[in-house]
Amino acid sequence: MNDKVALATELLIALLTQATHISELLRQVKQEDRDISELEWEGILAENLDARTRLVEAIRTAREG
Amino acid sequence: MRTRTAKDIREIWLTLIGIVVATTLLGACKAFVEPETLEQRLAYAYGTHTAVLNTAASGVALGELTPEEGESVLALADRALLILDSARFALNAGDPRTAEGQLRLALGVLTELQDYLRRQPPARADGPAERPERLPVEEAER
Repeated sequence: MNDKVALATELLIALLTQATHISELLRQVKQEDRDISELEWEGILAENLDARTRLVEAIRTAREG
Repeated sequence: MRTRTAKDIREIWLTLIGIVVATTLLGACKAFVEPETLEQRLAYAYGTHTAVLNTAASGVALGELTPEEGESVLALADRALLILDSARFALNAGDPRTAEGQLRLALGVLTELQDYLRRQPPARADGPAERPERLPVEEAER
């Protein structure tokens, strides 16, 4: 098996998940013919911050382990 | 012949999931809403940034990236986020031309990060993995 598959697959799944989230949001935005609201932007940014926190935590745990 | 480790089994599962995802990807892509405005393209870019961070976090947690590699990804991802934020602020300030330029710049960094993650071989339980790939930012700083 190709050793390089695992992380590439994780990336593909993560991209697909995010694209689905953003697409659902944009579908609603387009239906209502409006811009992305401040609240919706806060949701996008909060998810981004959660992901960053996960990475920082994973690095810290790996260093301690 | 070595026995299958939990990591091997995980790789097999991920490959199977990858095949399923790839098979359905074409259909799913058709279902995705195409961005029509700069703001909507920015939203997708933030989603891509989140996906990169989540992938790197999993990679570090599962030993497929070293902590040092994780920090390199984090440093470059932080630069990309700074540029994305600049693009959003420029757009909100009524300067779409600057926002467009910043978005393109951020997408370039995000593409580099995705390429880097795709090229990384996982660390193996039965020996040290080769770590031939470096982020462009690391090469520039050497």
